[in-house]
Amino acid sequence: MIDPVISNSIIYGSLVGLMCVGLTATYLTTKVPNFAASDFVVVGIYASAAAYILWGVSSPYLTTPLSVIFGGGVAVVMYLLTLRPLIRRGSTLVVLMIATLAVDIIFIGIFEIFVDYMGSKYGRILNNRGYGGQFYSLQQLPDFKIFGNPGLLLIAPLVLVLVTVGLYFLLNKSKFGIAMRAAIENSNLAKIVGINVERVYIVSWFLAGGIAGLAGGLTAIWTGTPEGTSSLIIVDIFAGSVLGGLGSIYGAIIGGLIIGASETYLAVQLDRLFSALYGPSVGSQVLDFQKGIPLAIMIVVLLVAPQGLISVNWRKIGTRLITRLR
Amino acid sequence: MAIPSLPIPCGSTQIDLVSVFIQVGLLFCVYLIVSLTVNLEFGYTGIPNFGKVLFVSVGGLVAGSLSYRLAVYLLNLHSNDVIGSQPQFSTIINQYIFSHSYFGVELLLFSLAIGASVAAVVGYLASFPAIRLREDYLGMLLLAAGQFFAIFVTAYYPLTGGTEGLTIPDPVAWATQTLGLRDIVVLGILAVGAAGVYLYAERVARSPLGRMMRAIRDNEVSSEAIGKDTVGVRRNVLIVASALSGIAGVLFVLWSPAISPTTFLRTEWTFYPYVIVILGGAANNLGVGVGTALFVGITTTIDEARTCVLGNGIALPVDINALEPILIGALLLVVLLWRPKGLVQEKPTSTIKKSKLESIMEKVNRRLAQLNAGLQPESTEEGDKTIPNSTDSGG
Repeated sequence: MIDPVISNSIIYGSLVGLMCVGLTATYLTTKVPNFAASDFVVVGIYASAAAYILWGVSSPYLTTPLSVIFGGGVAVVMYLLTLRPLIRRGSTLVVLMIATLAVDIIFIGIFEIFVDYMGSKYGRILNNRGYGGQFYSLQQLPDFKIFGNPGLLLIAPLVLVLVTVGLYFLLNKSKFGIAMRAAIENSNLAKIVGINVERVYIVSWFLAGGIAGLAGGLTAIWTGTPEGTSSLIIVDIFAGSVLGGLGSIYGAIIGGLIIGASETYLAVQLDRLFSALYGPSVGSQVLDFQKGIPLAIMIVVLLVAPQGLISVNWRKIGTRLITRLR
Repeated sequence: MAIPSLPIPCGSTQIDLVSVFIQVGLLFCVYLIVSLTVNLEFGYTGIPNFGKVLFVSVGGLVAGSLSYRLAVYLLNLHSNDVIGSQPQFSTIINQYIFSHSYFGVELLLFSLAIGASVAAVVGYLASFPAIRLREDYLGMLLLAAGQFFAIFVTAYYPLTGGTEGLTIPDPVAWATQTLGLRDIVVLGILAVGAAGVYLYAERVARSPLGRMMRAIRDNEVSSEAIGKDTVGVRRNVLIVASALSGIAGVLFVLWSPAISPTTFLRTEWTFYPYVIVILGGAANNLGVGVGTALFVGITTTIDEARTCVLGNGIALPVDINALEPILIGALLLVVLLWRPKGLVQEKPTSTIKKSKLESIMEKVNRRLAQLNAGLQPESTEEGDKTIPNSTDSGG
């Protein structure tokens, strides 16, 4: 059995990697950071969990495809109803950001209603957590075990690899993917060559929402979901995407992987360190502040290399390091 | 002397209109201050500060916590766990303020100063990335920072006692001797604060600085090209707006002197001010006033309808509280789509009045006519003082 700290780091890193793909793909097409990106994840969580509860299927993995469909569908609806008309109007970037913020707030209300309804009707899964008042919290869905390890330890990285490979082939080998890249690169020129840019945008929003929803479907298996989860994971998504540079899907995968893994791993290590130094009462507090880790990484990245990991000339740094070592 | 009540029936319960009006007034004042700061940043200068809740809550929570600690220190109360023993301490402090009103005033001034300066410091720190980053990165960073601060407050016991919250001393406890007087006093303080911030924002907007802010918003490169210090202006705007937000946080806490991590939520203190500014009209302080009035009217109506429905024991299938963000969010989208400039649109830069301009032009023309006629200008004429000689060459 692998140390749970390591396995959790791997799982959460993979999940955040998937979530960051969702944000970056929408950023590439619409050039606006989507503040509702974390809500697609939560849509995925609830879609999978609700289907699992209602249908009573044997494993929550069977309902994960539903997360993809719901996440993608919600993303497309959001794009068609809010962002596309605003972009046609020639709204500024800040106005578009505020519009996504509005969608985020609407989602907060919808989730509250949904959780409330599910909690009052199917109380055995969505139970009262009794923390700071009436909070409903979705319990972790059951996972299978491989040699005592959670099944997600295998599934989550596998899904991340599959998504990466799939995106690589879609974007580089298929005709549609090439049209997609052309539309992202220069939409006017793409229109001239006869590419249906609108359709490309809708498909990329579906992909973005679907991948984020997929991450949500897996998150439901990994951990419980208290109310307000979308406000928590947005920090990770932003940090991972900024670390990846916001301009590249692969950068987002790497950035999310680093953020998710380091947050989980560092928080536990710092907990151990502080417990050893100042006693367990101080150490256990460190875990509460773990969202400070992605925030700190994000600030450092923005100040040192604002274009993210992708922009850094690693070869140059490598040769410089080697010459200095000599 | 008690405040009169004006009950209106609502099913089996009733709603007191006077208390509703007082509540509307209090909400209006606090939201006006916060929305005016959002207008300074986003409306005039184009800084998307999506971490507004950070500055409001830093002001309100830190000042509240420190004023409690100061009162405990000044009244020589002793305990190993100052936060934990707040139920007894708060009663003692409030009783002391009840008999010594000056102490309450001092505490209020102290918390205003602390709130403004702590928020200004946070604003200064936020300005480091703010002057370097593009709008999208800045919005993401500030939103994430606000989110982290909310988590921080929940987990950090010494500030507000973690999730349990902290009852802070009530600086206007001396007004509780008459029923309802406290509300009036608080409303008065808030109204003075809101009016001051409004006048200040209006003065800034009409000044050369206001025009420079708009120029930076509309075209940063060209304002840099004509030698404007865009970095300095953006930093100063962020610091001043943050300090004012901190004051708004302190004033909000003054109303209900109990602070907890849920006192300041992102929905209410980042999103709603943006709704107000966009509804009323960005880069227009009057519009922000109109927007605040409308917004507070809408939310209070929803609030009272909720009280009425729940008071009559009508069971609803969904949590009615959750409908408010959905309605407000949809309202914002509707405004963005169909009236993107808001109810009161941005006006061109204010200049001197037309009549004044005409009188000046008239004097200039008269002077020119005299010169053309070869006459010496009469230095005794009163117009000479307002028209300097240099206008001759310009005319």
